[in-house]
Amino acid sequence: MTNTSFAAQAVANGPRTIAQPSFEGMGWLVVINLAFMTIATLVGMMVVIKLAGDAWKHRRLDTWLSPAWIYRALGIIFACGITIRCGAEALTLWGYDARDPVASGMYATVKRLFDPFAVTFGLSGLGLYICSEPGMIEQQRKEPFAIDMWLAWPMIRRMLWLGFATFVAAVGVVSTR
Amino acid sequence: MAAILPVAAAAMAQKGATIATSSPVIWHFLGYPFEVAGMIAAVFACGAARWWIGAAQSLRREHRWSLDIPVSGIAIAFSVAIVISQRPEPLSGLLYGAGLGMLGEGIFKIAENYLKKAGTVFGIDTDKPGE
Repeated sequence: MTNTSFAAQAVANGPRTIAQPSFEGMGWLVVINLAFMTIATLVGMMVVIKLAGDAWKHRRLDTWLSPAWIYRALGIIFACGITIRCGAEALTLWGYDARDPVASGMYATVKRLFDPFAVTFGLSGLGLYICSEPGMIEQQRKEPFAIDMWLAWPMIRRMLWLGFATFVAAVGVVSTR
Repeated sequence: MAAILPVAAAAMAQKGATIATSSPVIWHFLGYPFEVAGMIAAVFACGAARWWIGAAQSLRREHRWSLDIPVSGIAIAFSVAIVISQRPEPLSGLLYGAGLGMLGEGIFKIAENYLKKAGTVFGIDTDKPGE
């Protein structure tokens, strides 16, 4: 067996645990991590796809740097960051296998490569928020009215079902492999 | 199977478990063995993809029993079959399931294209040439 990369060597020469050694054999922790990383990836993808579709649909209405555009861009940027970060982590968690050190090491390296991009998304989101915050607050005070939080309830319900299914699947996978 | 309370079982079972001390659970379907972990991953991914894509479409909600559920059943059956024949790791199972779930109705389209090709090969349906 030729383990060319350092990460593959670390997996090959480390303790032959079922999940990553850093879990210290706590199966419930693996379940929680697996489920939450997968849920976050799926929900992040849902939000990105929905908001990108909305942005395309209303591209004439919401012009460059209008409040609605900024608000939607914030959502897209943060959701992209969450999706990339948690997706890479979910890849390493799902793909870890001490019997296949080359793939496990590659996933770990892929995660390292993707993390800076995720942080870039997070920081640009923060930057956009900070830049737009004074003007946005001013804008939002002009006509005070309560926001109907339950307009998005169908989408939230879908996310909750997906999260529940993911949790069940994570428990099943961890307790049987 | 001590999975009456799966969470409790998962919390207790893997105290310092290594590959040497624990083996993946293997079930049998019609005599074919397969890993349960990969099966759960594939079925979950397939179901989630089918459901996620279809949940917002009014067309599929309208034809839930005549279209949505049969196609989902076919997609899940395909993922089960792939898991049994390939016996993938959980990650590959996840990808197989998600791919088949997203394919959905496309499974039928692929089959139809193959049938068309077969028709041209055997000279049965020459006025509708395959791709």
